[in-house]
Amino acid sequence: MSYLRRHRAEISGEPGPVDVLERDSRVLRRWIVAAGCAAVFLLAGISIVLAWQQYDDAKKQARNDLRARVVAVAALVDTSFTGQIQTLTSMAGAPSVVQRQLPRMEGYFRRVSRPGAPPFTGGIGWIDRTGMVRATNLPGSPIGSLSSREYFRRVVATHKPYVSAGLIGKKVRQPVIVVAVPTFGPGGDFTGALAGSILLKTVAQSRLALGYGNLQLVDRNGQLLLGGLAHVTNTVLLGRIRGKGAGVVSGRGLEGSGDHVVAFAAAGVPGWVTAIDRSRSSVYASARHALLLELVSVLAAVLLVVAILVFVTRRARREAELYNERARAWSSLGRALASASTPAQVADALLASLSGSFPNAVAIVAIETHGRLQVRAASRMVRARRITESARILELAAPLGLEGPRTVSLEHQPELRDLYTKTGRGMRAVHGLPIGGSDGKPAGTIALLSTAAHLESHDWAVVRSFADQAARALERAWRFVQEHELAVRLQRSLLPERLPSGDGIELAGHYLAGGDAVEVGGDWYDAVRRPDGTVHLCVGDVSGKGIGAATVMSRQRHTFEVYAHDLASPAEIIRRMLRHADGEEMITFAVVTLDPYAGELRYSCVGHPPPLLLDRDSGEVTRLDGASAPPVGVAMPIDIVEATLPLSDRVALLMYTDGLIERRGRNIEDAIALLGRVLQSEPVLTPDAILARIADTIGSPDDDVALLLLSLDREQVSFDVELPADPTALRDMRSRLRAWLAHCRIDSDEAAGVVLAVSEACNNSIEHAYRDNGGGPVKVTSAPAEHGLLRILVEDHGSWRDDAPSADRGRGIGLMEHLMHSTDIQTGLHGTRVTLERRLRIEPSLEPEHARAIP
Amino acid sequence: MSDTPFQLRSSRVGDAVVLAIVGEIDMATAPEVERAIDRGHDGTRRVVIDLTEVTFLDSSALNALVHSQRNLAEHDVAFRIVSPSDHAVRNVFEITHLTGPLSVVDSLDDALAD
Repeated sequence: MSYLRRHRAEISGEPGPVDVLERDSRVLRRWIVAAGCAAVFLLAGISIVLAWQQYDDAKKQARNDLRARVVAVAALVDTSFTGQIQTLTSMAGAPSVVQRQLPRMEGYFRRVSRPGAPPFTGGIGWIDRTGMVRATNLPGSPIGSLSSREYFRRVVATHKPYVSAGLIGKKVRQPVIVVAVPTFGPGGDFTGALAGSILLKTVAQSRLALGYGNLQLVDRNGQLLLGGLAHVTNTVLLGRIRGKGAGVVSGRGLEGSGDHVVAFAAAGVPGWVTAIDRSRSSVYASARHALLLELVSVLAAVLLVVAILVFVTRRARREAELYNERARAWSSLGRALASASTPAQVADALLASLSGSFPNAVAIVAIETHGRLQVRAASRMVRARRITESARILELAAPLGLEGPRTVSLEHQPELRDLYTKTGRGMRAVHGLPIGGSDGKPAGTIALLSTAAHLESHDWAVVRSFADQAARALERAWRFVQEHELAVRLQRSLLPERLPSGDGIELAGHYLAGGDAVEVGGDWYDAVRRPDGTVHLCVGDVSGKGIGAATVMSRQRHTFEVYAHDLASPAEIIRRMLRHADGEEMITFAVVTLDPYAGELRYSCVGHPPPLLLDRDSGEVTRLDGASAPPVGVAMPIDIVEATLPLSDRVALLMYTDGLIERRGRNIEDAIALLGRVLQSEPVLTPDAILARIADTIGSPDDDVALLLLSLDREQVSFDVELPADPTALRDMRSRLRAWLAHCRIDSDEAAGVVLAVSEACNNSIEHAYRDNGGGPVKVTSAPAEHGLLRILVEDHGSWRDDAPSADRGRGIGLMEHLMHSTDIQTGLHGTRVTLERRLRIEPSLEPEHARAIP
Repeated sequence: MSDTPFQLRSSRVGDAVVLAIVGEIDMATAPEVERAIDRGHDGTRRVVIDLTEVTFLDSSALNALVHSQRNLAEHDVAFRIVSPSDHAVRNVFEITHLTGPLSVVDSLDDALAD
């Protein structure tokens, strides 16, 4: 015990370094995460700036693209009109035109350009100097004068070709463009103008063929040629772009609304402005898409990097936590092992540390116990219970560690693998090593059924260090177990094997070894039933522990037994016992004497806590503290006093040593009061029940405890008295028998007859049976009457020699026969037995017994 | 009652010796009673044994009384026993049919009369 305590004191240190380590690594982790995040966001920022620049470029690109297209359209327009002017100019040189032969001219026109055919879909006609249309390829009525038309006047004024603004054709009645060239006579004189009209409808169709959406053609007058000759609403814009070569402007569109991008170019030949007028969003759509794509990919990249960072730091944290957990497990294992006093406690401490240190494994610990492995398991894994509760898996896995350290893949353990696949998946190997055994047989084994296929060297180091700690603790625990078992055996041998119990009297003794229980103690209990039927009970305590205390205790107990047989008075017994104490040890004890027939209790205590007497009918608890003397070693014989109490019908008596009620920092008086309440409230009184209740309330005893519990039910008590073959003992026997009969509620007159008959039977035994060999006992026994029949036996072991005067003899037997309904005298080799029977006049105690049966 | 210690008191009333016995007369005390009667009858005509305060009486007592009576008869000394008829002890004489032979009477006055 002292060894264990010393060891405990050495080990109980604080795990300071672990805390510091944990704090440092936590700070470092935080910095790594912060730096990583900063780098990621910086890179993402740069990417976004670049993407924005690309977006700007793409926008410029889109504008340039638009401008290029519109420039191309303008060039196309110029080329087209140049061609048409050339066509008309060459027609103007035709003989019929030069010579103004009108019918031929019309025929020529129709030949060259059928009405409705390109390029002059609106028809061709020759206008003379007065403005009258003189020849045309159009059928029907004459067109009349076109002298007011701008294009005619310009051709007359300049003698140069001219392309008109959009106008409504006089003949076709729809928007047209008219291309006019001057015509000259044979002498080179100006004769008129040749005009070809182009339906704008066909231009619009060609625009669609070109695939230019939002293309606008604005003529000299600001009319939208493709918009039904409507005037441009946004004249400011028109003013800005007219007369310039080509360009792109942003702002309101030609129709004066929306956020538009307008690309424009001048077509010089017809004097048009060609423009593509689109909403900004449609122009920059592709740039925006590109930007969006860019941003999405940057975001994805950021998320990916952050996820990786989180994963890595989480893993680092898990590893750090595992490290800390192991450090904690190591120190807590040390503490747990120091207080573990049995191999099972060692195994539990080891399991707790292992399962904490290896969260991905089922920890299995087996302890070699009497040639067999006692296996137990624990795990922090989810659903590991099916494994830890599978005895077969544990039995198979545990021995793998005996030959370790080694790793056994489950591939090579088909039976184990099949079992575990039924109970849980993911396990890949068993890693095991023996506990101790460096100098012989291992004391046990550790096996980790793990999801890891192999253990890192530092993992092995952890397991090995646990195993080493456990090996030392196991050695201690086994030594402790041996010492404990020895102490318990020794203690038992020092206490009475059996206690006298009989009808109506039950005695239960209990010895509880306190603390580590590796030493015998000095507490004892004992009980002696005297021949006269009284019972002496004793509980005592020799201070100190160990063989010395146990020897003194044993001597005291035997001394008590000897005197208890001879003496009726508890005080007298104690006085005699004092003579046998050598004064070295402090001894306390209490002696209680019960006379179940007379219903009397006597007691005396020397330095001992008071026994408690419970009246089971009233529930009242009495402390037997009225006859106390100082402990043995201090008390003088004159100090010893004795007290007497009447005994109720049904009582319980509890005697105990101070270990039951003494706790550090607790009031003894309160504890005794608690004990009284336990006696009152416990339905079935047993030493175990009392100990359990006391332990629940004030904790387990620190010291040894001896308990003696007596239950007495006087209704059930049989009469059982042994008297010496001495006439002077008869009086006491009669007195007891009278008391017993009275308690059995037998009428006093009838009882007097019974007492006389019994006394006569005893007379015979004393007078005749022991005449020669003197002093042998006579036994008088009777059970409470059943069905009104009282039977009393008087037995002796002498030999009946009937040589008394017959008249004298006859009187005794005559009395017996007269007083009893049946008197049977059996004489044999081993003695004489007189059986006396009497049918009682009144069914005894019928009513009262029933009344008492209801509590 | 039963705990009353055994006592013998001898007194003279006229020419009679009255031996009053207290307590229980059994195997242990009967010889004393017999001895006391033997010692006390010299020079008297009558011995009266007063059992009024006797609480128990067994066959040993009866035997002693019968022996004493015979002994006294040889010396012509009259013998009377006082045992009130309402006492349990009286019953013992009745059972053994010794009420007559042992001259058991109810009171001391009866015993000293005639």
